[in-house]
Amino acid sequence: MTEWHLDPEAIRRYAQGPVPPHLAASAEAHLMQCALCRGAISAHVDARRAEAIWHEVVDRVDAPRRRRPERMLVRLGVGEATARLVAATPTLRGPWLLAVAGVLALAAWAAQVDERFLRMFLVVAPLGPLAGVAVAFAGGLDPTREIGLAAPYSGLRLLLIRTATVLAVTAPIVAAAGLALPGSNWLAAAWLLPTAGLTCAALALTSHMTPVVAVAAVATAWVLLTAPTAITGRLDLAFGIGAQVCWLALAVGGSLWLAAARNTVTIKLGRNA
Amino acid sequence: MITVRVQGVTKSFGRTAALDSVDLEAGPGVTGLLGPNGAGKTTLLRIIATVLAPDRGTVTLLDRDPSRPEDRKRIRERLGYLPQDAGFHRGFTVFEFIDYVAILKEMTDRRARHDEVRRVITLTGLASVSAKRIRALSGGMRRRVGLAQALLGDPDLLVLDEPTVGLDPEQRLRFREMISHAGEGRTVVMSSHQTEDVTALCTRIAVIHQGRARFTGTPAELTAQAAGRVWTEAQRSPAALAAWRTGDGTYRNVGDPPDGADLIPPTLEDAYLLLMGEPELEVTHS
Amino acid sequence: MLTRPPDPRKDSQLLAAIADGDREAFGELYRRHLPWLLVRLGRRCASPELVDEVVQDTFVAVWRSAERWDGRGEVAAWIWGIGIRRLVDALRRSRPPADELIEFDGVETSAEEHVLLAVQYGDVGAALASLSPELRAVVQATVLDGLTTREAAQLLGIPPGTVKTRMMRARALLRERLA
Repeated sequence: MTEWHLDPEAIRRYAQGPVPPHLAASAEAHLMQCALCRGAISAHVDARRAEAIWHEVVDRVDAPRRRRPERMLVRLGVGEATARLVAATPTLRGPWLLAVAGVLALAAWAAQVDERFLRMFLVVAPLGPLAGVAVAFAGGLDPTREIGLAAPYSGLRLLLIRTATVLAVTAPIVAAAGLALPGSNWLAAAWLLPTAGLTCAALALTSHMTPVVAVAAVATAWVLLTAPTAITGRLDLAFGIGAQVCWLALAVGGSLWLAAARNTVTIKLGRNA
Repeated sequence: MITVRVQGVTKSFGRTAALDSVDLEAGPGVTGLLGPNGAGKTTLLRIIATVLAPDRGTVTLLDRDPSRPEDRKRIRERLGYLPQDAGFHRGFTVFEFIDYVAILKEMTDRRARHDEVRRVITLTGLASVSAKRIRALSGGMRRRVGLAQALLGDPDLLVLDEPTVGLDPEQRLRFREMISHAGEGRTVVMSSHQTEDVTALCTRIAVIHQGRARFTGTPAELTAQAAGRVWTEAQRSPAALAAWRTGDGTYRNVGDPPDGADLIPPTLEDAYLLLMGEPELEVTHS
Repeated sequence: MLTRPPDPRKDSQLLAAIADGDREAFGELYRRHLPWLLVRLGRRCASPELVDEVVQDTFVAVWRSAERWDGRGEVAAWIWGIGIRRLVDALRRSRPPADELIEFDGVETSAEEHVLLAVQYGDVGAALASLSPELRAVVQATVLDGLTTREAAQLLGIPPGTVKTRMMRARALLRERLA
């Protein structure tokens, strides 16, 4: 079989347009088999056009794969960069979420058995989301933490993004466990405002201590405050209407303070920062 | 032009003094911190990378004061940092990880950011693996990913903590090339506990030992300190601080030479050994 | 595209590397196959923007499905299969107002071309030349481009029944000419 190639003139005519269809067919059949002639066509293709298409291709090929939560966030109007940060939050890990769900399921089941456990559930419920916030900032679990500490990204912004993510993920789990409780429905929601208040308090404290320490402090204070009321059956002290108003005030107050001080306060994201 | 000025910096962790009144200056080119493990190099680098604040002393980076929040942010915009045990999110590809750091460096425009990520990927020779998961790469390649993220945004100040540790000779050579290239027109401050790295790369050195800067100056100045204190003999000399057998069977002795000793030109390593001091080193036996 | 030393790898090897995530192999494959793909698709669709989009989609698909190549035949043919089907899909979704299919009728076949065709295809080429543009288009779509009747129908904008009829007529005519 002789080495047959398209001559340069044929290639030019084929690439640039008016050519009898059967010649085009012949050329195309040949091009399927001949790398040399394929190469020869490149001289007749606009380099800028090739480059532009390549740029688009590379952009789509390189684009980090987006998982569904991230895509949903972007569709909701969250900035694409912020959505990426949310997706990389070190708490959205299956095992950890299962652990939280497991603990709460246990608490809910125990509450069905004995009324005292019901009160304990309310004491334990806010600790789930709080623990999530701590985990999101625990050094050991965030491998890029050191690099992140040297980055110009606003520490407060990162704090808020991660906390919001954690709450959005853990709160429904706690709520689901709460709905499984016997008794009136107000119990299922009584932990919401305290959790909001405690979280805002912890966030406000991060100007003086790391998130992990802040959460630990707030969680300890909470348990010390509410465990006695739960044991003695005086739930209304910590969860009654009056108390709920206080929690709301704490949440609002903490948020306002953070908003006001956002440019002057330094969030201690890392130890010794 | 001095980019980094550290004066009288002291830092303690609990009762341990990691740094004791350290002075250091660095400008364009590569400045090396040499010293044994635990000497305080990482602590000093973390302070220069604005990750840590000193207990006492002043730090000036890129003509700004990192103790002030607005200045600190400005410094971080012009800073690149490769920590010692740089970790990566499980499952990220090279591109995704560097893109993530780029977001932390506040590159919000997706197109521009991806172009910049591609630029540093090409710069560090990672183009062929940019779609691979980092956990599937060798140690040398992972270190390159670390360097790539530090180069994002073309920083004026690059802080590298033990960048060549654990690399095999070929990888180390390539890495040195990249660091040397990075040092052109930029200030690089890096640490190492190996003298060859420093000899190959640095225009200035600081020897850090037990939290103090025992020497600052050029490699030539440091080497000169060992002039007349290195000699060769057929066996270990009792007067030597340290001695070892060389390839041709003679012994290289470092210390205070006896009269009439056969002196040989010193290397940086000799000077480093001498500087590290008598008490720490094993006294050689004849 | 930057000039670099020629990559000695065969297309099949490039594809294997691409399946492994090698971006440089991908760039080389692009360099080799974009020009002809752009021209060939451009001869079937008058809208350059649509062609650019389709070409883009094709190469992204090549990247994502590189490991699914069965290893048989030419890589170029595999790429063409992806490309032409993307074009068919794109045309089905949005037919540009102008006639997408370009017909080059009224062009005289020079004596040279006749000879060329005779060398490559012998009498078949000449016989093909004597078909009408509509019949030729159908032959091109099904035989040369490798489309199914339905896909050819979508590409040409005619009902599948018409594709079948025209194919039968074309075959009959060719048999007659080559007898």
